[in-house]
Amino acid sequence: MHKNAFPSRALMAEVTAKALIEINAVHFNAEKPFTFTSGVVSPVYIDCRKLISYPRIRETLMDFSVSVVLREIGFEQIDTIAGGETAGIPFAAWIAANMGLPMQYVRKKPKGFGRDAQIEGDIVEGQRVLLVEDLTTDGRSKVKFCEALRRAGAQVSDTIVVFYYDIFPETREMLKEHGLRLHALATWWDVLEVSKQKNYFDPKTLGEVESFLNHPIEWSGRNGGATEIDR
Amino acid sequence: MKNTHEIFDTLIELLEELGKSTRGYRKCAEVALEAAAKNPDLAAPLYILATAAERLVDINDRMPVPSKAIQAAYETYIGDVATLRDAFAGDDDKQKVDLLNRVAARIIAGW
Repeated sequence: MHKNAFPSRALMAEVTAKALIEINAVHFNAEKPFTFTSGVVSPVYIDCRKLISYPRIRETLMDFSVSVVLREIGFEQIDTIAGGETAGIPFAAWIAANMGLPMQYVRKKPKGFGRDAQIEGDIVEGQRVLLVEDLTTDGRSKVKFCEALRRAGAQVSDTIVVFYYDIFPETREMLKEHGLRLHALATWWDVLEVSKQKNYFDPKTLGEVESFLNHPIEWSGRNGGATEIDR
Repeated sequence: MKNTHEIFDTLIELLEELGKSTRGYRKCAEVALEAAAKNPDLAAPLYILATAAERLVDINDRMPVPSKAIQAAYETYIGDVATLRDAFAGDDDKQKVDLLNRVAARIIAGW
């Protein structure tokens, strides 16, 4: 696919979801759930980092990402691409290469002092930076990385991920409050849809997953996890 | 002013309040470092506990963790907290050093 081709959002979401299932990046387990960083307990787990080991898939998804950037942000609206340490770095590198743009990465913790202490690579005052990560759960890390970029003088208004959980209604609102628009190739709803169509998982498991996706906090509470999300 | 038991027990309470989550360990590390700065006599054990919590945060790297592993890490961590709390609530300096070394060795060995 040429990077300037524009497949529909629905097609990109379906292909992304199928690819993630194909490489076993998706796990559903209601009996032995997973605990998110926030303490929320979940029957779903996704590891987008596995994508880096599958060249045909990663190339397709990075082409999709460029397509989303060009269509939803613009052809000349981004000056440089920044990856969030650690998982965002390879995806940022591929998107930067595809778009012929410079790249930086943002450290999770500052290295020393100064306004650039969290940024690796050169950044110029006023540069319009696209923040790239592998996924978004509740959006907190996006805000932290974005704040670090802004401290270094960058303008950051958009962030793109391969996968967005899309289960916490507060996430988009919180990102909006911080002046960030989120773009994602697929969500849990796309994975659920593809899983149902293709019978990838048994109906009982899918029912439990759907119950979690509709009411994540309640599901977490019933299974011993956190019953609220700190903002 | 908090006594020795209270300072250490705060870490356990924090972790439980935050669902034994990675965010809980991040908060524990912050609180332990602040407490170490305020309580120089407890700086070594609190620094070790902060380091242990930070290592776990780094290992998990924002990824979801199976609940079984979360429970195992929690039991190990509160064991470390209790060991150092009891040692530093007492007056036996040799035991303090021995248990500092034991917990540090446990952390180096990994989670």
